[in-house]
Amino acid sequence: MTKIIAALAFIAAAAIAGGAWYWASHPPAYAITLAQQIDHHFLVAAYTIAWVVQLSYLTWLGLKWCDQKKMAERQGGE
Amino acid sequence: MKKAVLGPYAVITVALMVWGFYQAIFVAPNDAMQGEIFRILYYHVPSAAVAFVFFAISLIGSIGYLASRRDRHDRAQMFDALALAGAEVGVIFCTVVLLTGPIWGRRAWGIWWTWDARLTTTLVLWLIYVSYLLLRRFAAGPQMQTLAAVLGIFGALDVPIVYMSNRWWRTQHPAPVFGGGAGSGMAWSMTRVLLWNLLAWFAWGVMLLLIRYHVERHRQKIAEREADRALHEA
Repeated sequence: MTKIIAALAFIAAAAIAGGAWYWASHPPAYAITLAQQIDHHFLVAAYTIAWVVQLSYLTWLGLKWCDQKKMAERQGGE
Repeated sequence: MKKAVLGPYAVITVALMVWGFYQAIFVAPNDAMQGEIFRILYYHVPSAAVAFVFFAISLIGSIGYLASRRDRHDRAQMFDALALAGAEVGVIFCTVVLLTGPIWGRRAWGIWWTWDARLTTTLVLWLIYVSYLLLRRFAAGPQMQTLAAVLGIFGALDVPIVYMSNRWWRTQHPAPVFGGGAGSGMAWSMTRVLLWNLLAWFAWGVMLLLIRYHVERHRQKIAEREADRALHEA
């Protein structure tokens, strides 16, 4: 279970990094001035940071949950 | 926690998040003054609102713990787990607020940070709840739970101050958009997108809260079983 969560976290991190890179390198058609392109990069940064924070916490919760399950199993087995 | 409930709820939440993202990026119009950078608002404002809700949940848990800690042990532990879950999820959302705000501010104001009332009180709120979590991390026992509950109550007192700060004082932070008097408000095409994102982030926050609550209750039961065993062995 821990490995599955770690793998899902890795996939999510790769998806965010890939998505953010693609999104940052493809500004919308109206972003023609330098200021508009910088705005676009700042927007991508803000959304990416929000998702990294949230998904990191979810991953940490999942790993904590797995640890406790193992601990409870050990306690039951003793 | 029933997996049968959490599974469909998680699917609905993820669908809402995707819908909210689509609305924020592809449907909402650009702001006439700010352009595309305005879209940060669709993550920043819901995160702040959801953080306030979860700090309020932590307040309820803290008060409940203090009220029931002497004679209803199990109920007190449930309240304590609720207080912890609310504070932790609230800190996560508050962190997003404190990170996305300066990114918007750098483009809109030309600076990352300023010590105005709204920003400072939000930072103080975040610091209070981080200290609450550190207290819980590095201390143990019922004394810690009582101290944490008191700190949680004092921390929640900062929430109305943060909310009212840009009404009570002149701030660099924008004036209230909703309920801010004459001239405030947003176009419906933007308000609708904000409401979708508010719903999506709230659903996401509730999912995190349920998981965190379950994990904490599980930890409490393991600790109680260990204490019982140690007592019988002594």
